[in-house]
Amino acid sequence: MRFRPLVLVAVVLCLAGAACSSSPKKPQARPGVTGTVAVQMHVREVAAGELISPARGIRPLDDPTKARVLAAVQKLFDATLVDPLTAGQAGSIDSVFTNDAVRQAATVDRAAMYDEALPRITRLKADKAEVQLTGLAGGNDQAALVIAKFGWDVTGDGGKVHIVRSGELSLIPVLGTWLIAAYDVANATTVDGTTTTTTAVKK
Amino acid sequence: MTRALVALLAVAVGAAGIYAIGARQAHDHAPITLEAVPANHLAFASYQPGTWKRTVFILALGSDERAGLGGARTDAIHVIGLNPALGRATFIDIPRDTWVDIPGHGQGRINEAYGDGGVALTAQTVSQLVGVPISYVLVTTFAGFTKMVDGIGGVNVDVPYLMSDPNSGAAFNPGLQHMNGAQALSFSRDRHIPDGDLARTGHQGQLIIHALTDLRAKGTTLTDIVRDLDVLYRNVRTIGISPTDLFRLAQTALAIRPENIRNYTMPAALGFKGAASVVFVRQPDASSVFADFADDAVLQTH
Repeated sequence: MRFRPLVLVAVVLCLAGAACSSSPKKPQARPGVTGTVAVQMHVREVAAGELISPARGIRPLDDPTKARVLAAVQKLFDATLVDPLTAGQAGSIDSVFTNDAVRQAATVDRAAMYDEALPRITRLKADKAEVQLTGLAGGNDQAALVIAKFGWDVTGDGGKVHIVRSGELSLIPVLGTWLIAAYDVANATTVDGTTTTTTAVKK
Repeated sequence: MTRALVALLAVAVGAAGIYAIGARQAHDHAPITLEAVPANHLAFASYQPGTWKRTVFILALGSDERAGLGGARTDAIHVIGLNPALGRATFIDIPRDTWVDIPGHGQGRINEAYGDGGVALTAQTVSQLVGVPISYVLVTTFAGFTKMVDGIGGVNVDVPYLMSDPNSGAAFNPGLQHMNGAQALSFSRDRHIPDGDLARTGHQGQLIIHALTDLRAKGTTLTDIVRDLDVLYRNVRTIGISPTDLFRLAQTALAIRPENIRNYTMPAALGFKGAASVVFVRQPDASSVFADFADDAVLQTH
């Protein structure tokens, strides 16, 4: 499946609560800035989430499930990409992965799952931060599995850092929330013209 | 999903993409059914990725059931063993006229078990012969098979020799060629060839592997597989299998590379039982093959 071209994600970059970078009133990034740079970038659902049901065919994924899954993806995006680049430190992903998956994601797959040890940047622009959700109903006809297919393309400080990350996340319901239990991710990071590619798979 | 059973399942999924015509779960006489065998069914209370690591054995049957004709029998019988841990699969092809003990029905051709007791008795009979627990049974009719192959856009088959058989409709020159559903059905049914039924059952297994190869080329992402399940549910009647277990099964089957699938025809010999032409299990070769297969679904010494 490919992303439907419904929405070309606009990037929302707000520094210190000011307007976005395209605004004439944007704040000037100051070289050597220290402390946390406040950045908000929202992943966007690019097609209405769908639920595959043996009994009822394809129907829209219910809003609560969709919201929880998107929140998990957003958290992953923030903690592994935005935070390391803008604050110099990755956020915690413990709350969005199952215990089994986080052990692998945070250790052996860390290079693919996190954008760390990169030059700290003050401006971020996302040409793409897309998510497509496809669910599968279980025996009770409620969502039992959601595949989040994502594609991120983020540039920092006008091209100093360029990150392209894509893949699929398998999320399952656990005690009222949705957690990433498996993943297949490819990450390409370009710094000053040199690209490093990493992949990670948790089945 | 189309190796004797893995392969057939794959083909079923692919075909469903095009032949999304059936009423959802409503067709009692669906051309394709997939049924869990209760005693050996691998079921999970909830979906947990990565938990399907166990070897699973699936029985793929091609039924000659046609409208207006009673006494359906199974023209194609394949045991598919999947070993996810090793990333390998094996098809054991069983000639339809194999002379065996049919539990509760004495001796007879193995394809009679389907008429005597349906899926359950066939699974029991095959399980007894091969020595493996059957977890799922996939049954397709002529119509279902034709749709499956057409549904994946046909299949490439390497025809080993000239085939010309008015009974099956097979009319092929040797060499690699692209077949549509009707042609593939003819190829898989033709037994007027060297080694007769033994060669035919091997052709069926090869055809399934070819179809699997084509399906894999069309995409095996998790999203692809979930969407494949939707089209499958429009065409395949599933019995006793949860959607997430089917997803897991499909994921497992499609993860196996075609070059890691072995197609092996059961050691057998053509012969007669009275005046009837049958196929005898060739011992001790067959027992040796079955033992090699049963431990991990892989043939290490054959």
